[in-house]
Amino acid sequence: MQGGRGVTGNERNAERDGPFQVRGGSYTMVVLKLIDPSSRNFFPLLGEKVRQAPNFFRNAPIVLDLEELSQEREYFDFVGMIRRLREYQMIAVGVQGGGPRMRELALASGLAILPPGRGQRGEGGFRAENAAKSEAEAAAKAEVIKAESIAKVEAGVESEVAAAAADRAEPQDRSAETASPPAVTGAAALSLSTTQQSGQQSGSIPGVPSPPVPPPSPPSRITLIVTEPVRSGRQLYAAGGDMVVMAPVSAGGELLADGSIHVYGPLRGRAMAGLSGDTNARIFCMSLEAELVSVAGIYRLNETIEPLVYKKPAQVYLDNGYLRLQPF
Amino acid sequence: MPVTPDIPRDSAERGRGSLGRVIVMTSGKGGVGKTTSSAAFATGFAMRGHKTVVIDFDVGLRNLDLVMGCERRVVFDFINVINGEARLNQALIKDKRVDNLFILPTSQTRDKDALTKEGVEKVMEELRKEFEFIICDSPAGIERGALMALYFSDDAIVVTNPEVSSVRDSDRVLGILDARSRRAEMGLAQVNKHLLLTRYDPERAERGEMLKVDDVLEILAIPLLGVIPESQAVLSASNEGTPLVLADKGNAGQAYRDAVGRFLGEQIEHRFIKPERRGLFDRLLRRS
Repeated sequence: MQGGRGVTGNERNAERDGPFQVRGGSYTMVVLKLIDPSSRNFFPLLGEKVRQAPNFFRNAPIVLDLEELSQEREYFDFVGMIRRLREYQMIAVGVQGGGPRMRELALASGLAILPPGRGQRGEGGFRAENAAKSEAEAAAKAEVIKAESIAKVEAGVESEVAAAAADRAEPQDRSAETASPPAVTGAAALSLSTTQQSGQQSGSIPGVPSPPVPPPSPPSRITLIVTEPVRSGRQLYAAGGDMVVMAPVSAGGELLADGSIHVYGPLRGRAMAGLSGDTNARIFCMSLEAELVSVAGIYRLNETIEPLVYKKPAQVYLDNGYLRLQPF
Repeated sequence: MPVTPDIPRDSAERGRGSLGRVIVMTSGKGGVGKTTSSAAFATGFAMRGHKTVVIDFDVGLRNLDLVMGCERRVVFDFINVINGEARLNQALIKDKRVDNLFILPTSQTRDKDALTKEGVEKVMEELRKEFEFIICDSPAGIERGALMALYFSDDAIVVTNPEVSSVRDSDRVLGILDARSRRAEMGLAQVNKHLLLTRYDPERAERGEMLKVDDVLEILAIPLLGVIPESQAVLSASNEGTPLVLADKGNAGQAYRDAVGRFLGEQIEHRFIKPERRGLFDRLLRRS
């Protein structure tokens, strides 16, 4: 995703001619929460997980979450862990959480320290309910799969919001989809600095008519307005704000927004609101026929939409962690 | 070269006035009738006096020449022209039945990689100067061949069958037209999109066995150019190598002739959408 839009200031232009460019980017990564890494079942269970969705894990960057490891732990073999993960074709790139001692060790092993994700508190954690049940015991040992989008921002640097891992967004095999729809796994931690939020994130999705870059002063939310039909195969992302679509969204089309999603037409594709964990986000549409709707990672599939709301004007919102579909 | 006033809809944009209009016949899905429709439209335009060329973009699966009945006259092809191995005039085959109609066949031995953007552009620019209509018969899929066929288009005729998978694929192609065509990339006016619904059986649609015209229109949301009824004549015309508009005095041929007229801006009411009334009683009531 190279947009390179939203460059402001002359010094940035000067930077273009230099031997490198410093940029921010945001990527969806799989977080591997370490609960009991010394368990004998750790790698066998992990291997099973990988077999269910090999394409999803192939060469995937992995963030190790140390939060659940006991605090008093003085030593952890990061190098060994990195090597073992490699055997499963996963590439550990960094850690989040953990005490200062653990971070030091991670750093020494070549891992980056990532800011803690907002989604890790659980409310945004995304998991297919049925898969979760069978996993409950396994989870004690190897709790995988909470993809979080980690935003890495260098202050004052032009940033591009890469729409969450487009490659991984379409799981190749069905099992990946049921186990953990990666595109939806948006319990995200967008710890964006204000410089980033000042409006440079709107443009980077190809083919999207990007709204003009707003002036730098009033920060915060940007609305993405789409006036043409969202056809099958198209993926749109409203980074850091709401999305308003004034046309039909076809089956096979995909809408992602950190805020709410409004569709003034039939919604037949997928819509994921609150992608970075905003549980107050909602989805509104004129006719609810979606393949999938989700708010902050909690999702419903088309086949579970009740006849009462199907093809009706409706809203989708979270109510105490429960996804409600309500006709108007 | 005489040009109907409405044809170069953005002559100012092109700067030179009387350049031809490039039309892609596309669908995403295979077997829906792209080649049949390309042959029918090309012949239809030519019969009305518009100088037309139809190009086969399905490199490696050469079919258009068979449907046009000129397979035994192919010496040089589209790929030879792209590679500079032949001049355009050597590769163009003039139709023997209709004046103003030319066929540019493709290669059966090469593959889609032979279609380079620069090469196709060069041929298109040359054809635009000489022809009023350039019809690009797209291969199925959304890969290189199909992308090259639609890239230079001013108009797209999206051929769709009344079934969900075909409609879904057409929808995908419409998205690609708006995002990845030359017009989209250069920020020009969008490609004009037209829906051609083929193999339609009004009675089966009425019984709910296939999608109705309105169902398809609701999903695709583009103007309807024509509905071609399912017809036995299509297969025999194709095997015989005679374009439907020439061969068929029946419904399918008429429907194509209507669609050509509509494309040229004529107001023609849609036919063959409702089941025909049957039986003596009906006839007495409705037709007298």
